[in-house]
Amino acid sequence: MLTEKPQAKESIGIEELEDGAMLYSEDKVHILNGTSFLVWLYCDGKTTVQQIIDLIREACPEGAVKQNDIIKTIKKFKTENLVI
Amino acid sequence: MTKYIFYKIFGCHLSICYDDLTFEEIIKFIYPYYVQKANVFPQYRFFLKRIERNFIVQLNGKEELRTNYIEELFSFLEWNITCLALKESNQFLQLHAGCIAREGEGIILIGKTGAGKTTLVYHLLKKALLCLSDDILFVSLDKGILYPFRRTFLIKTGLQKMINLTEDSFTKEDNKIIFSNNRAYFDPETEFKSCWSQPISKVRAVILINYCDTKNFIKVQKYLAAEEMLKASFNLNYVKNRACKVTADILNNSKTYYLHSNDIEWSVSRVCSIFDG
Repeated sequence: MLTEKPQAKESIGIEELEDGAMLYSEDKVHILNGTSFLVWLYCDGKTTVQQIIDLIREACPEGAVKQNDIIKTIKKFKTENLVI
Repeated sequence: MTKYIFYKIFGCHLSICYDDLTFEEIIKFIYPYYVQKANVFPQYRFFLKRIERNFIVQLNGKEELRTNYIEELFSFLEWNITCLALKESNQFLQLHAGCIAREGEGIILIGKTGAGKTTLVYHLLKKALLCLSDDILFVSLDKGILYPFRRTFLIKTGLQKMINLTEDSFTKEDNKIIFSNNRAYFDPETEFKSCWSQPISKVRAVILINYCDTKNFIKVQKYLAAEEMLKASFNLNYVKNRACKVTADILNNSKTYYLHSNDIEWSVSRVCSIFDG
């Protein structure tokens, strides 16, 4: 999992909010908070899950975001067909 | 010769041809703000019959409603015509929300059934605010303009008790409220003259309201407000992309709050403070 390079689907539409975003696919709208949206932005097909975790933890106050939560978020993106 | 049935439910006029009327023609009566596009309406045809005490509505030949309550007939027609119009036109985001306005700015009140939207709007009208809706709000998908939805308020038992409204407390000649099946239908214009707002292009706040025992009025994150706002949409699936854009525009340019209370005076003062602040 940590070496995977998730890539956001190109077909997903984005509307940014001050503290998150709305992602919309053909069948659903997904509301993300700020951290989840940041994770999604890093899903560029070049960055590994481990690198995403490091980047997110650098950007957030210490202890604010747990590794498991980021992994869960990426898994959810896969389940929801937001990343490949 | 075309034959029409005219309904007047207090200030709301409804006219349906009972032998042959196109959906497009019906819409022209009901939504004066509706911008008509060419060839957007398939030929929906409403057919009304009355057999003894029953009103019967058929849509394209299929019976959709049979009732002896004229208010139920009116609600059914309003709801179905509204939904069909939205489905076919794709011009509006339709929200299950109340909305009031002052000096050209609106406050959207999002809440589930029973949250107190009508109660709050009714009491805000007493403070000389203007009304766009107590229950259903239309937002244009191109410019995010909020349109008033003029209709009678449906006053349920909670608000009836709060304002001491009983079936005996008015007369039929009062022409202000009618009761049917424990529900009161109230035309706000009879009590609050010129209470309907013009269309509004600026949203000052979006409030997520809830009726509960504890009082709470706090700022809420935009993404949570977005979630509730989209849940409150009836036609999101037909207009998804533009609905997301217009929702984001509204939320990013307004304040967002939770308002939890069972104290109407307190709630009214909190909403008014947003306009004053």
